[in-house]
Amino acid sequence: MSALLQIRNLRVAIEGKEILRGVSLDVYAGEVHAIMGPNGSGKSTLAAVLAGREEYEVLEGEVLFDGQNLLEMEPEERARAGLFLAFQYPVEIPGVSMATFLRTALNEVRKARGQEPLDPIQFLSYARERMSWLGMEPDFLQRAVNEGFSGGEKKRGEIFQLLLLEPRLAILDETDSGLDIDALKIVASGVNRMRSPERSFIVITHYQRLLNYIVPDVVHVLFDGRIVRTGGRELALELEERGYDWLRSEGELVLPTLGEQ
Amino acid sequence: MPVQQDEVLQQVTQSEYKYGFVANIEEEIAPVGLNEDIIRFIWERKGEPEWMLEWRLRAYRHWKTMQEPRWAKVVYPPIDYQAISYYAAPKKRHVQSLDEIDPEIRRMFEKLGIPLEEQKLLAGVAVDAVLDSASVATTFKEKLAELGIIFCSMSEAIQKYPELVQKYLGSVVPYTDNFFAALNSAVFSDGSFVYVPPGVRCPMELSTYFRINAARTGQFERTLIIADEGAYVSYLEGCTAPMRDENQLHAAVVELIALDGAEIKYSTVQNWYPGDREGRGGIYNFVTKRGICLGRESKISWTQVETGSAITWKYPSVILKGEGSVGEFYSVAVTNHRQQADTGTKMIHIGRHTRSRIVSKGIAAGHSSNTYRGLVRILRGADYARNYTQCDSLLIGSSCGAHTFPYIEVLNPTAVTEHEAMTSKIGEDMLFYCRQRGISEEDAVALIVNGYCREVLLHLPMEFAVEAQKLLAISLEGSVG
Amino acid sequence: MAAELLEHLREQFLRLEQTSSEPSELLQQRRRALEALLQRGFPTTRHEDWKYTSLAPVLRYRYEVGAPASEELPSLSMVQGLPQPQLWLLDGVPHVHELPAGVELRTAERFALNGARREPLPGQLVDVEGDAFVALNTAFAPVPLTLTMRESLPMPMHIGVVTQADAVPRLGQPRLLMSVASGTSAALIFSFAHHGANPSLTNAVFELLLQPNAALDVLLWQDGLADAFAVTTLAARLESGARLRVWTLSFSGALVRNNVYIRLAGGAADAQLYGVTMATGQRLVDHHTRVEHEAEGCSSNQLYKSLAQERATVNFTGRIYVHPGAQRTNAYQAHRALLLSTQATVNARPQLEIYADDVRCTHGAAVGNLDEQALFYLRSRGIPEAQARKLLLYAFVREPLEALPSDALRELAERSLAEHIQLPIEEFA
Repeated sequence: MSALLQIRNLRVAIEGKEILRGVSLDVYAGEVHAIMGPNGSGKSTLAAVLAGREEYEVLEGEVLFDGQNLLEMEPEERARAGLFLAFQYPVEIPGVSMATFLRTALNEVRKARGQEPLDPIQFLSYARERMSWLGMEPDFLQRAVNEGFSGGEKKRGEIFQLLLLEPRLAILDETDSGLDIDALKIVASGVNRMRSPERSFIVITHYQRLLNYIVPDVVHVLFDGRIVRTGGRELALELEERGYDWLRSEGELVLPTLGEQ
Repeated sequence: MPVQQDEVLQQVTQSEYKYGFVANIEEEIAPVGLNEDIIRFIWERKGEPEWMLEWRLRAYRHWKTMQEPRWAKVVYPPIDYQAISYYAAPKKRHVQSLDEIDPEIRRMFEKLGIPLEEQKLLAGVAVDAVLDSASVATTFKEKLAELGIIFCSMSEAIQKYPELVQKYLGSVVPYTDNFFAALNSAVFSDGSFVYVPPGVRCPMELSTYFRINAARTGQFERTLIIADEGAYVSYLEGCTAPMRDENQLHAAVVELIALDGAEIKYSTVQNWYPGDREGRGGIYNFVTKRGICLGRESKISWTQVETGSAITWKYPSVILKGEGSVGEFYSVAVTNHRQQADTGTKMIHIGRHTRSRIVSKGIAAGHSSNTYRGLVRILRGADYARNYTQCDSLLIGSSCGAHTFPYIEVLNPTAVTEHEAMTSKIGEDMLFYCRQRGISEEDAVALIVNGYCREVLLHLPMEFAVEAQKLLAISLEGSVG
Repeated sequence: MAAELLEHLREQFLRLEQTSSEPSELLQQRRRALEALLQRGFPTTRHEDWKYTSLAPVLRYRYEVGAPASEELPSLSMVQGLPQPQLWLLDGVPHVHELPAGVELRTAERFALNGARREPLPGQLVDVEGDAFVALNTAFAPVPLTLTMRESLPMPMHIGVVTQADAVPRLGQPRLLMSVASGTSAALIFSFAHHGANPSLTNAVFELLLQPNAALDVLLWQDGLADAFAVTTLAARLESGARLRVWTLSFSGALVRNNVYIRLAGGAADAQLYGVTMATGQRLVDHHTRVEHEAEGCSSNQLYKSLAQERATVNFTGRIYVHPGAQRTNAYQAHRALLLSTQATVNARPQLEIYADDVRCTHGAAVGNLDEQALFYLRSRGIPEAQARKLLLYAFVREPLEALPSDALRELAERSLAEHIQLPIEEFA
């Protein structure tokens, strides 16, 4: 069986500056991968390119999602194929209610899966059930998309959308940043609830803390646009203890050989 | 509001202008051209009293001395006023009851979603249907009459309520007001008339549905609404026209009068044929709408959703004369392809403690031009007057233009006026967020634009709000990608 | 009235033309300008640009053009505290006191004779024939000048603009084309004054060319105009990366019209316009701005604050114009005014005209009165009402001065403003 997501030697630039300098990664169905790395290492760029942001320029490489050429797909086609990005900074859309937004999105995704669209009543009960899992306020659906949400509410909203849309691959871009421990637990419980043999996760984070609650199968260290280390959970703990600086010297030694692989 | 989103999105994929058909109705059409004989012709056909002829002729003679205004930011070839027919009316129109309406007309209005049978109507909406120059049907008349509310065609009002018409016709928009108002005063053939007696709250929405059908005609309707002391009325106006390659002229006049403590809410969903992608055809919409808050604590509120017409020239205004009176203007104007809109409002504060509020949302796409033009004038005696204005514009694509031209004139030191405007591009981040959730770019635009206009749409009666949302989506078709 | 003045001007022109020794090219430009003026006449309130400003009080007098025979500098006191001007423009005629290093002053006459024209002639940035006051200036400006700044100026250069109407009503018409070299920076202070018992009209046209990455600060300090009339037109073209800041301090003059026209012609240029207006008595002050974004990535900001007292009128018309293709534009504009008397008037026309989509443009206009709560607060602390009022007026209107390039200048401007509000200087120092 081939991997759900296959990234081959991906090189990406923005405004002429190369950010990802040859990333390769396989994520199999059911796996949880954590990608760690210092600020500016390219973690969020990887998430953005996978989701289809147009300002990034792919210089080289290939990404297959369930066998399809992901880089040729429009952002909405990727979403309908089951790729979900939990945004680090979810955007506010004034005047558009969460209910309108999410029902539109959900019905698009359902249509792509060959399912019947949900009418407003069905949608409401479907959504409310998932809201209760995350302990969300009932007025959430009536509020404008992310407008006036606190940082924690926004992140919880992203996880709620993950529960709603049931993607095959969810990419969590620094979902833990700015969350207190209680909010972190709620977010993690939402993710853990969704873990299944068919569904994969890429958890992008700066800190090890989140990985106490979402236990990854594989941990990668992204450094200066390349994956310099891959290991098990213990790698995250090592990073926690030693920081990222030790990779700097090691990176220089290790990189050439990794790059040639 | 969320409930209708699906329908909105389904509409996006449908035809560009679905009201563009021509109905085959037998009509009597006046000879092309304009002169005193034509005015007499109209006057005779309508069997009006002598004073109407005099008024019409005075207006016509004044019109001949006037120049067509060219200050608006719209461009169009000269209009040949002698090439238009000023009167067209269905031959079979003198009906005693709704059952006698020409089946062709009935079918046409049904196709437009405006059934004329009372039992089929949406609960709580009475309709006056105006086809070309003539009112063809008014529903729920008897029920309204029980409350003393007069809701009829203008022709009928001139016959039956001459004292009211004579007192108020031209009192807010005199025929000397502007070129198009003068023209309308000379040749108007029908329209709606509403009178709500003191203390009566009109229990249902009153609605006029305007339809231009005949070719080479103009439509010149005249609407007069009077809310007596303590009365309340909500009035809706909708409009469509067939798709034709030629431009057609629509020059209406609407006058609203609110006496002490009265409130008039006037809503428009303007969907005249906008012309095709290249700008061929479409309605020239030159409309004068003005209300006066004559009484203390009276209120006039205009809400408009302008999606149609090749050219829109329209400034629904309020003269705030009564102490403590309130004027409101909520507007969404969408232009796409080659459409041009120059629209806004005037708030003239005369009385003390008068307040006005303006919220305008302009959305420009394609090669269109979208202008907000507004006046807030606080006169010397308008102590403690307040105005708040917010006018925002959204640009979709780099070939359109969005412009904002407010005029603020303050002559009273206790008044406070505030004007804010912002013009920006549709948010790339918002579009991407929607698309990452599986929503297509075009649907995302419709969604975001609807959200952008929400503050205005909220002021529309429910039935119209749904219609307006769909229209916004349809109007913006093909604006991205 | 206007017809008499025009006829009077025409006669003077014919006389001047006969005795002129100017090159034919310049004379032709003058004649074309005069003909345009005679044909179009002065604008009336039917002209959209003059809707709120009637020129009737200005056009009542038969002004003498050109400079009086005497070439002596009158004893003039310009803005208190400023060093004496290095350059005087008396009735439009230059009197050089001392030019800073790196600054070149030439007459357009010599310039035209030179033949080797590396820099454009006057009239590049203004509408010579369509704008009545530019036409008037072009036809009669006694000595059109070019001022070239080749090096950065360490100190602001002070230019005194004086119109002298001792014997007769006079039209003073300075005409200046300024150019700031690439990568240099300078500050120019124009202080305006009227002299004499007769009415005067100062009609100044200043054109500014900012080469790439040049930076210029300009102060139009209208402090000494008394009851005279003034129309100033400042038009600037900014090449890429250039920065321009203009302050218009309008504290005097019976009828003053200030036009500031900016073209952001090169990428990433930036313009900041500030205005402080203090209108009392029967004064009429009319600000017109037009900021055109022609290139990508430019920014502009306008902040005008005004006080209208007694029977005064303050008009503001400001336009942000974004040309097609001028993407990534950021443009802001605000006019805030306090209307302080039942006889005073404020008219505002903030305008956006936008033909590019990747923009963020805002404008705001507010007219109101003093914050009664703040007033009460000050009074509750023992400050007499009249004093408290002035303090609040001063606090409201001074905001645009904050960005002035030096503390010394800011203090001078604040002092001048305080004097006009009749706020004793010690109260806030």
